[in-house]
Amino acid sequence: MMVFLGKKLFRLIVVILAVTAITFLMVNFLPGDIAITTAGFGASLEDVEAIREDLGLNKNIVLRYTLWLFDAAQGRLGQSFLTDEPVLEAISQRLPVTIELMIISQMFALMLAIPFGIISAYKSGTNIDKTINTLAFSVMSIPTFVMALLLIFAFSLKVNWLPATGYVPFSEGFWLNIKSFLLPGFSIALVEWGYLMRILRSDMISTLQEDYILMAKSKGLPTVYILFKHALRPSCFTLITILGIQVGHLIGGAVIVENIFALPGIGSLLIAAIYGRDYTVVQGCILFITIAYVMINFFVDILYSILDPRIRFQNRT
Amino acid sequence: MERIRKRTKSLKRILFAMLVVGILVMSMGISSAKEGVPKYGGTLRLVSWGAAGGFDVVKSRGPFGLGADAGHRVMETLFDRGQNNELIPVLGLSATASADGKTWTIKLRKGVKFHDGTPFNADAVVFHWQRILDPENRLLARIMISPILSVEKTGDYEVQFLLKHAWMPFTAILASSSGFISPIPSPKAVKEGAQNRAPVGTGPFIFKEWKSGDRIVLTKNPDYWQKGKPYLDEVVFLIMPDHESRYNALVSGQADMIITDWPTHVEKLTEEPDFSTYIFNYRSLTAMLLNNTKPPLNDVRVRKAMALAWDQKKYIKVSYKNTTPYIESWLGDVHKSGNTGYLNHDLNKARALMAEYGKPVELEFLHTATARGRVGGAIVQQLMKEIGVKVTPVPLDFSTIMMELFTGQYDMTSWRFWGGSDMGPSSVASFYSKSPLNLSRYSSEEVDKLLIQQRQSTDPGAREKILKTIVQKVNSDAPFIYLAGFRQYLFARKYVKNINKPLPGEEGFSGSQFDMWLDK
Repeated sequence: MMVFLGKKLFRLIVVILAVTAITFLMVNFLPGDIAITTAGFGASLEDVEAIREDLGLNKNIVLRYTLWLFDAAQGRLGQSFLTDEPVLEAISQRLPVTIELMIISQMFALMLAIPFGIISAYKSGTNIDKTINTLAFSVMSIPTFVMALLLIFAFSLKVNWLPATGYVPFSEGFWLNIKSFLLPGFSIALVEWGYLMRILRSDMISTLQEDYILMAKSKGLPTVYILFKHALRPSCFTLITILGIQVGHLIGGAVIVENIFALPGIGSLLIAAIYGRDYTVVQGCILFITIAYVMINFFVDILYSILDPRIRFQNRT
Repeated sequence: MERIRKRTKSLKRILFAMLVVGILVMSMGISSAKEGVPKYGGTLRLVSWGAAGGFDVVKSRGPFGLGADAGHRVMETLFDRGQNNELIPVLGLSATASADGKTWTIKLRKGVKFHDGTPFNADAVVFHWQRILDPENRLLARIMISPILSVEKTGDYEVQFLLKHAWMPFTAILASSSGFISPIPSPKAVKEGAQNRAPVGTGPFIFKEWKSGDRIVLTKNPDYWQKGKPYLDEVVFLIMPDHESRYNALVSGQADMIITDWPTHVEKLTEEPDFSTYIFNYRSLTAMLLNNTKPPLNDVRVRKAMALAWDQKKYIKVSYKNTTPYIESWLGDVHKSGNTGYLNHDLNKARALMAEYGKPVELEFLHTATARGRVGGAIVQQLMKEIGVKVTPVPLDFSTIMMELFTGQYDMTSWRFWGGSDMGPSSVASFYSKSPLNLSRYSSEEVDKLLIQQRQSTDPGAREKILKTIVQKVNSDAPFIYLAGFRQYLFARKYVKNINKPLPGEEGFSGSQFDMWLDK
């Protein structure tokens, strides 16, 4: 197990280094210049040069990356070029919003995907299965931003049940907090659940053809018990793997949804930083997103090995 | 006889007092009839499109300082201006010019403290202005205030501004609601380096929190020097760059006020009985800058032909659904009558000029990658095609457009001109050949001379005439094309009362008082 964990951790560090290095390079190749943006109109070439010097942009890119990495390793992510805000502070303020959005949207997606996946697999080939699949395909084809706008139109502008914008922190009330995440969460979940449902359905159909399921049926066990107790767990492996991989997809969705719903999360921070060429903020956000992505997949791998003892055994041999 | 005289005198006093009280009561009556009795408490949530970049005049660097609406509630100016351009004392009590107009003496209010407990006095004003004027600090708007030479302390509560020459816009600069030149910050906060992220001033609201790109929160100053004000407990400036989000926030109740110029929202909200509508006409315009130094746009015939091919009315109809004004002079309401020299849509004249030029013209039009930017790009392309000019619209983000402008590589790009209560400084900034803010790189000896003349003129009538002549001359040289006038709409829930209207020509709410209240 320790060897398994060690290998995974090593890969995790390599991925973080590679992603941050590539991002650093790519951000530098973006058209536009933070020194000019910061200097504003009317600045002379000397003004721009002085700002470039102040911001350390005159240094060689490898040296700048090495210095950034050295600082980042010690928890120093610098300050925003545009607003002077410490990057770590900006991220730590916004991280809970994005995490909550991702958890809620994933929960909603699973709440839809698991029952529909099971029903669809159990009723495979029937009209119920076809209806569920058609529904899943329909919602999968709707982009997240369209889903968000449709939900806002229906639940905010028409009936005014839920807020169209804004974030209410947990400290101001549990229900108010959840309410501010319902529409953003559903905007992502309603697009995502179809993928998850299809994966679960496909695995479950294979599981339901296994001998031990036939044995359970012959024992006269109730169908619901067989489906949830005997069939669901072995059918979840691909689903769990996909959940980890889907984090990237969710982050992409969160970037759009946070902007539409004016949620102060990492996504909206990143977009504003990219438009403003605020390199330190972009780099800090990418670092956190990468860490989150690889960590979640790391835990998925561990969970996978817990659920399926064969993985542990393979790693041992 | 003496007794009669005394009685008459006291009677006169009583009558005078009654008259004053009567006027006050009448004015209160008018105010109550219009807005009701002020109510205390509550939080006002105002949605703004632009993210703040900092509140320190030097560190935030932007010439006009986004976030000024919030900043001006925390920091106060020496004076405010009324709707009729009159000077209203705030931190300054009086502004007196010397006979030659080169020295201004400002008497300051006593007994005012900054939110950090330090006193407001002449040292604070001098400290602030010395930072602004220090060339080492590279303030970007310095071209606009270049006639100011220095500021000196002449008493604990008196300062003197020394100017190069008599300069009419001086008091307008002291009372400006744009950017952070005019409001006075706490020297302590500036010296400690805290002012840019957590501003400290003397204003009716105290800075509480700024989450970049999300919100700025201000709370009531319980020790405000104007007793009884402000009425609100808290003001939250929500930042939403997306116009749909702003609209949704207002309609679904997460915001009390929004400012927008998006035509479909303007149409919908104007018809809604739940909202009050306020129209803000600014002395500003959206324009298409032409690079006057780059061929073929360095040829005045090509620029003129393009200006004649442009159909402003059509653009306003398509892009703004006629919700923004048609404009022929950047002076706006100052130049309502008289000849503006504006080149009206005339395809025959435009084609004749292109024929005279005799060479094919291909240009790139840089516009913002937004819905409005794309519409503008398509219309420009179509209209210029009519005179044989091939335009390729290029959607870009603002940062890249800025770089193209700075390096002078662009052919043409969309832009918004600076306004102001006095259009002299912004005219100099935009059209003086040596101005770093002259982004179209326009150069005319005649216009340069006229700009200097208007700057030094102390006769308002003569100065206005010179400014109008400048407009005529510039319009006939077509260094840019007028896309549309600039108007914004403020929509507020009916319970928001006593909304401060913007001053003529300036963006943002007027004055530093922010006397709104909520009547829920």
